[in-house]
Amino acid sequence: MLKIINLSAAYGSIPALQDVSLHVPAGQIVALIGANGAGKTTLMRTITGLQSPQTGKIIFRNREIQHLATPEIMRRGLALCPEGRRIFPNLTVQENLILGGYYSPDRRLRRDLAEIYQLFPRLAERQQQRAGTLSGGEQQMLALGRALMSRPHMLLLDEPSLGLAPLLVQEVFKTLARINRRGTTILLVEQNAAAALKLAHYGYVLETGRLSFEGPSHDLLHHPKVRSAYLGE
Amino acid sequence: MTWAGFAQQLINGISLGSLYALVAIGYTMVYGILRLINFAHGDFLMVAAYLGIFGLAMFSLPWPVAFLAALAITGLLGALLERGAYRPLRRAPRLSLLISAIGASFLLENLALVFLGGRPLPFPTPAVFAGSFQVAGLYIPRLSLLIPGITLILLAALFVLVSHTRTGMALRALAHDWEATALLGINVNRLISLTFILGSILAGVGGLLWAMKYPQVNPFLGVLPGLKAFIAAVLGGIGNLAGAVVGGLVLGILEVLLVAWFPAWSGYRDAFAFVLLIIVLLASPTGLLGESIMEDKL
Repeated sequence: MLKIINLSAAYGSIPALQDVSLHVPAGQIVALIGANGAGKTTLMRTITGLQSPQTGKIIFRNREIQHLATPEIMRRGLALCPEGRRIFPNLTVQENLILGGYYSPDRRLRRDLAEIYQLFPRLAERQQQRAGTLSGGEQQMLALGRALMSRPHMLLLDEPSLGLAPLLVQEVFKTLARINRRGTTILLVEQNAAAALKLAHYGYVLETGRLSFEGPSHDLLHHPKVRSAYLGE
Repeated sequence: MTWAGFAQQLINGISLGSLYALVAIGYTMVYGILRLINFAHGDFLMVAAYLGIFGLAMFSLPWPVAFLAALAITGLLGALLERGAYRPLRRAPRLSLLISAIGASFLLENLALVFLGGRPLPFPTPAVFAGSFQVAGLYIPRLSLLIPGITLILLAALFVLVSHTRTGMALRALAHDWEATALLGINVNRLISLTFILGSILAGVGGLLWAMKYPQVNPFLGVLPGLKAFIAAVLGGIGNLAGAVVGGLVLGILEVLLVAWFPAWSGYRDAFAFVLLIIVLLASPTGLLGESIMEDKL
């Protein structure tokens, strides 16, 4: 689904990613874990075309996308649930969702809205409310729902657990598992390594711009170095 | 001043204010999305006015055809302006955009000067828009009713577009968070082009109405109304659509009343607008209704 080959990118003049290669097979959940400042967000920005890579290739659904503009990349079937959610606070919940399905014909849009409201009943209750008035957890649901409205082949998530209470984190991750079972491939970027690796099939560890470990997430969860550095043991 | 006199001036003020409002909308929409004061905006009044003259006088088109053609071309030129002068600078510092806007304004004015000459051309106002009537002792030019009427219809249409359509939602989203909008796969460039097309068409309507109100067209026709509309946009709170309308009306009415009450000061009517701008910027920089950047539904 997504293949990244020898990708390097800089944040200003500071190198943020060096020679990163990773692979997200169709249907899987892949977790990318790393501390603050490891380059996780830069990677997300580079995949989605908000930032240009210095070298390397990004292949999404068999096509190189690293030179495309953001909207074109996303319209190929990618959706990002960005760090900090970035919902539109002055638009209503419903309007936020509609924008996620901006190019859907009316009938499909209505069906997709109903589906999202079924997945997140809390959003249904607050359809006409301004998104800015939602709680943090609800905003995360909205960001997720908005990303799903385009029926993406692949969903990128940047720190979906950030700022959420542990119970809500569990809820979000359960929802992700459900979304994945419906056939959406997921690349999950997280600081919350334990939760992310428990959910994922495969994991990568990013350290100051380089990948240091990778493997089936079960193995990573038991890897002594990963345990000491990211699982607090 | 008598009541009749006051009513008379009020009608004049509303008519002038409506024109400012039409043009101010374009400033405010572009600012809402690009955070740019499009200083070439006022020149689109001039462009539309000349195009109107060509259609009416040179090609002898019926006025609805001539006006629609003039507006369509003006809208297109607005989109072209963005393509040529602003899009290449998308990632440049904001100041470069501003300089580019001022350059584009000079370019338009001087192109008109070179190709059309500096001598004012008379605007052949169609009969429908000419004439006047008397009601209760008031002398009301037909245009003084048509201008606010047309303005009202266009603004209502714009507000419906912005608050009730998918495109309008996307515009509001874009004004708030450019990247998040692009991340939804929404074609941001097309929305920006649309913003310029809409803004230029409204300015074009303003230009045609202006040319019928003051039927002398010269290459610098748009400069002063453009600046005043900019002041109106700031007065109402730049980025705020409703604010642009309120600002336009307030400025138009104040300007007309000032001249009516103090005829000796009539030479300062333009200076008055700028003094007002300075006062607003000092006292309440976000204007009367606040700087809401098109996010609010109204």
